[in-house]
Amino acid sequence: MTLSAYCRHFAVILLLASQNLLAAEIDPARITFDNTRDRIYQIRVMDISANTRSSTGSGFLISDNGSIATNYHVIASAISSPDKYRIEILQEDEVMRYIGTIVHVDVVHDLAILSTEINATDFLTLATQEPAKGDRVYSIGYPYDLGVTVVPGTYNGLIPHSASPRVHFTGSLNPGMSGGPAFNGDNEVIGVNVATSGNQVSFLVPVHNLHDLVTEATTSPPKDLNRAIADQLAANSERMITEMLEGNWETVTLGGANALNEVTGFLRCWGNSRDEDKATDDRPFWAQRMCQTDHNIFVNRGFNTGKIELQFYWIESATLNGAQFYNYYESIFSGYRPGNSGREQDLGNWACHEGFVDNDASMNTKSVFCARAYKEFEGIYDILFLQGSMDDKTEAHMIHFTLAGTTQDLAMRFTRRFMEAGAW
Amino acid sequence: MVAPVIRVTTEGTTSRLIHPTASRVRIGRALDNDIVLDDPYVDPYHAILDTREPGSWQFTDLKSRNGSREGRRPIENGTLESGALLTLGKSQLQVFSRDHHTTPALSLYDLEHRLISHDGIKLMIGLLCVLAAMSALSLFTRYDGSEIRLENIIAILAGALFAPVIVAGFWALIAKLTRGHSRFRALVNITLVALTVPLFVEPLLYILYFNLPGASSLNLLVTGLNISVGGAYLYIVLTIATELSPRVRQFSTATVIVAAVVMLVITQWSSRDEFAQNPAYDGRLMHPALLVRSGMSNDEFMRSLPSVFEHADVLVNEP
Repeated sequence: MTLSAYCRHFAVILLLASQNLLAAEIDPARITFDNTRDRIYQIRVMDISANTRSSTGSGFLISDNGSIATNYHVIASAISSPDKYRIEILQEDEVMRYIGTIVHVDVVHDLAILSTEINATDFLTLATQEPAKGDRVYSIGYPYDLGVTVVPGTYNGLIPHSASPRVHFTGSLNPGMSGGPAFNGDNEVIGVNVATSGNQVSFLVPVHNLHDLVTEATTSPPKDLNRAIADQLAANSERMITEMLEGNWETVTLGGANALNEVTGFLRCWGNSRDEDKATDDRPFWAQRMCQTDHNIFVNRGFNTGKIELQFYWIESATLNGAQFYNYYESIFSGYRPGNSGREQDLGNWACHEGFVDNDASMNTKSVFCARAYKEFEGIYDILFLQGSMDDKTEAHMIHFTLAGTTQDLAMRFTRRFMEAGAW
Repeated sequence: MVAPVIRVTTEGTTSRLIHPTASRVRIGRALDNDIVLDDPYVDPYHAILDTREPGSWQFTDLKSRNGSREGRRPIENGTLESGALLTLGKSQLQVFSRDHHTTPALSLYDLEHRLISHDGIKLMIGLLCVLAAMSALSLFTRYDGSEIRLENIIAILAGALFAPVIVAGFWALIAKLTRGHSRFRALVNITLVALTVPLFVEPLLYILYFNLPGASSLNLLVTGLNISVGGAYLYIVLTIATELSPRVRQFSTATVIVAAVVMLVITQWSSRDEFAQNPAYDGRLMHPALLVRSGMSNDEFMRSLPSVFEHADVLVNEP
């Protein structure tokens, strides 16, 4: 090697080294932040009478005509009380305030699209490809009204067994960041910040759900948002109940009876029983199994839906006589509660039908079926079903399900299948 | 009016009737009196009753140590009327003329008369035993295997037995004030009966309800039972404890019943559309041994569900 050649080679190495040095100095989080922060906004839901913000979230520009994407739950109160709240959109400098109008929402995936007067040609692009598990992603938003903030974290793929698709993001999302975007290394939006369980376990809505909503908002924007929400709840319930009806209805033992196994992926079962060895009294033995969906659909503060739960409860006693056992049994049977909750302005009261039913296994049961209708969403109901065995003097098995946010037809189909499942 | 008849009651003895022959009846502890009272609180020569003037008996206290009283008033010198009650020391003398008006016999066939005299101590003990047994039975069937604490059981049983006695005591006080007699035992008995009857009838109604198809308005029946027992109780107690005329008693009882029903209706009506997070379904179970009726089929149950949705639609549209 000649000297000049050697020098050239050395220079190349130096250059490479200096490039590495440069890369180490500027964190990709900063690059993403610098490249996108001007298109990320704080969403304020303003109480009109008090002229003050009542809640805040984040949002981002997704088109050149001023469309902003955010979470449904950020602006939910402005849908239910449009005369009480207005939506304001601003940035950290608080120089410009824009008014947001709700164009479309996706209550199931917790997304919303707002139209604004923002005049910007530069908007964020939605990724078309899902990142790989382990990829670095950057979430941006306005946590606690503290100004725009970037949070680096790890993409951990879609959560298995989730009631609706959600990305597991290992990073700290905090209140106020809801509705903000999460980026891949190419500054493309791969998801929307939505929730956290604390300890760096956070959740994003996958960007393809936003894609679908944007398409729907441009091709067929809804005339009536409540009608659109009711249709979304019904469609989501149909998807889940159909999946359950086609699922695995095998039974497993529970105490002296049977219970359903995990019928389908999104139902996760947990159970426990009374510890007879450590018991200090003669109360009846119990064993229970509860299978439910992992999260509710937020409709409004204090009002959630979409919950599906199946519960199996076995009790037996060796010490109580029949009269005493049935007194105890009755106290448990009378106390069942639905798995979701709502407020008076959202829901009607429960209507119930009770009766003694001889089921297909010719067992005598006491059966209860209750329904309550939604005030704003026509045709949507919560269902509570309960059946208790009535043949044994000191043994009993109770089977229960809650279907929140479903339709009459779906509820009837599921009830029939559940009654015929033979979980006895 | 002729010579009086005097009923004498000295402490510790049964009363005796005396027909005095003297026109100046001397009363005292000394043995040469016309009426001798064996009472250490009575003076040897305590008082004189002058019966010479027909219809106007003159009583004179002989400046006795403890004095005399007519009814509740002290008396030194005064005129007595037939039926006057004198208290000398700890003895009582009731002075009647021979033609003193006597009340007619109580009727064995009149509810009011029977009730007033219905004060058997045996019946009371029997009823208390029945109530204690019913309370114990209810405690027994409610036992769910939890740790048993004797003091709790005693407290519950004592509460069950004392409550009717306290209620009867209240009525007895009214009776004492208005009629002069407390009639405590009769009142305890009737209170015990009123408490015990629903304990027997209610379970029978439940058994009927569960086994007779169509008997669905059970809550109404039980409320009706409780209101009628309460009304009957009030009427009987008013009969025993007060001197109100039958018309007034009927009117008062009817007013209380109507008020109770109106209150009930108002409460039901005012809470009719109150929002409840949890369903209020009928979770009553029947012990298998008591359930005779067989249930409906799955299909029959499914066929009744659309009406639940219709009802829910009605409820959601209520203002």
